Amino acid sequence: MAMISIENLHKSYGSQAALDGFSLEVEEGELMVLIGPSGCGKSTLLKCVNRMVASDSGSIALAGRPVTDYKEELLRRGIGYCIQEVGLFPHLDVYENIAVVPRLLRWPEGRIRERVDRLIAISGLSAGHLRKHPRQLSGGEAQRVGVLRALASDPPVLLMDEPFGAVDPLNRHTLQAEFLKMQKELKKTVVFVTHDVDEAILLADRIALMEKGRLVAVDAPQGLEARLDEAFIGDFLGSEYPLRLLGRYAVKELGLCGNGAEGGPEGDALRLEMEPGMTLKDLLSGLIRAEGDYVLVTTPEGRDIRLSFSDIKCLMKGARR
Amino acid sequence: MIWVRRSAIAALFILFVFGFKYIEALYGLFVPQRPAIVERTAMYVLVWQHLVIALVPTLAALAVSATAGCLLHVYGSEETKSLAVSLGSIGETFPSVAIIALSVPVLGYGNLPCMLALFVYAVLPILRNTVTGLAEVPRGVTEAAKGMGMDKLQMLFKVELPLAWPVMAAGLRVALIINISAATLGATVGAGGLGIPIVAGIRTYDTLMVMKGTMPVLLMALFADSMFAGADGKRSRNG
Repeated sequence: MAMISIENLHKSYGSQAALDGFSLEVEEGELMVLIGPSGCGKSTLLKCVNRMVASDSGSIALAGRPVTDYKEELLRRGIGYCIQEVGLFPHLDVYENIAVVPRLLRWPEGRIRERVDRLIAISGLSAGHLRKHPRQLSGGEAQRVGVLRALASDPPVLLMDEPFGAVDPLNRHTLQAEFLKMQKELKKTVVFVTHDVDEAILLADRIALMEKGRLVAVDAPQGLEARLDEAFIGDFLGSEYPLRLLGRYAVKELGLCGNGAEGGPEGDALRLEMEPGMTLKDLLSGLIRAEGDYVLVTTPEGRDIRLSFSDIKCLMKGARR
Repeated sequence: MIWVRRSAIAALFILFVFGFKYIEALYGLFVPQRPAIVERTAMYVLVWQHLVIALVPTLAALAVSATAGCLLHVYGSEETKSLAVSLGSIGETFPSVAIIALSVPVLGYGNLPCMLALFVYAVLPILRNTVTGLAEVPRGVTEAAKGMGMDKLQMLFKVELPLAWPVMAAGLRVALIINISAATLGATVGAGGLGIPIVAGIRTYDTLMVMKGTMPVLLMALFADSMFAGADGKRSRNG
């Protein structure tokens, strides 16, 4: 059974329809990215799940139970919520900010402390941050605390509304990578709203593409590639979507196939270090820079591998399966 | 720093209330003749009366305005809120002498009309600042609070009021300082307090007598102000 099932949801603001018969199922442990142009209803949809916005008709169920069965506040305490503005409480320090929901749930102090320590350990923050106030944090640190606060009571479901939208690009990439690492460990059911295609490609198990309050397509990032000829999908994701998709795959995680032969004594060829974060996109960039039609990639074990464009095609073929 | 200021003010206050005879002697060196005035009430009694007349209405106004402001914030519409804000601004321009004069026919002479006037005078600025302070809490903060599952009361007490406090305190500060000085006007309608030596001094052209009432009032107002300088500053640095 799906963790979140949304069925035929409608919501209008005056004569403006924000959601127009939207249906979607999110599986347990899945990271679902909602993407679409501004005003397509993605934030409204997110807020319908924790009932910050009341839908006009249709239904949303969490693990089979309609959200309208719960008292609003109790429902929200059971769902992690994380927004672009972060909204940390300026009068509380980081520890107290993270402890907000556990306190609402009346956890004993020892359990709260344990939980906060564990969250800090899996995040990019240190224990030294705990006694700081929000005004002493950088934008990226504040966002991290925002995510930890949403995770504090260990809720099964996490709603995130452009959580990294206000952070500079370099920090955003770090935050995304950290979040992905955390998600691999915690396996929450996440609904993540963004308008950044690269972010969607990097994070999503599946991407739900929205337009004018409707679901246009829902598929894994590599699955959407095949549907770029469809009018709205191609327009929104852009013709360079396959190129961006390369950024999702780390070279080291894909089995090297085809003619990824051991390198010979070609001294002049461009050499790349295979760092853990090296993606197919970095590999392609290397190939464009290289004079010949291959580059030499040095594996962590110190072997040189010859990779050319046909290897990228071959690796992507593997990723699509 | 603030403690130095507070202790200096307190020391001067004690000097003027309990050691006025030294100032009198000093003054006598320059101005030899003074009319002889028999004091009926001891200075510390006048100070105590003055404190009661100024503080009780201000604290009552704080309780009433904070409650009303919170109710307006939770249940009021945008119109009623902006009405409260403009009423508060108008109220501040209303002279306190006028309120005292107007309440005498209703409440008669004595402490009561004076305290009522000061209460009315303090309610509006505190109410205005409560409403503004609560409205100024950043939207992201209230949305996060709501999204995490706080109900309206929890939001109010755990998030909104602590964040609105510096603004409310600013209103309280203005009201308290004005009331400490305005309480001297009570002497004209038969109330006690430090207005008594001031009024007596004016009637007998005795500058020293006027000073005897004025200086403690001035120092009390300065002291009240310095109390807020500490609390206010600490809060706003956090926020």
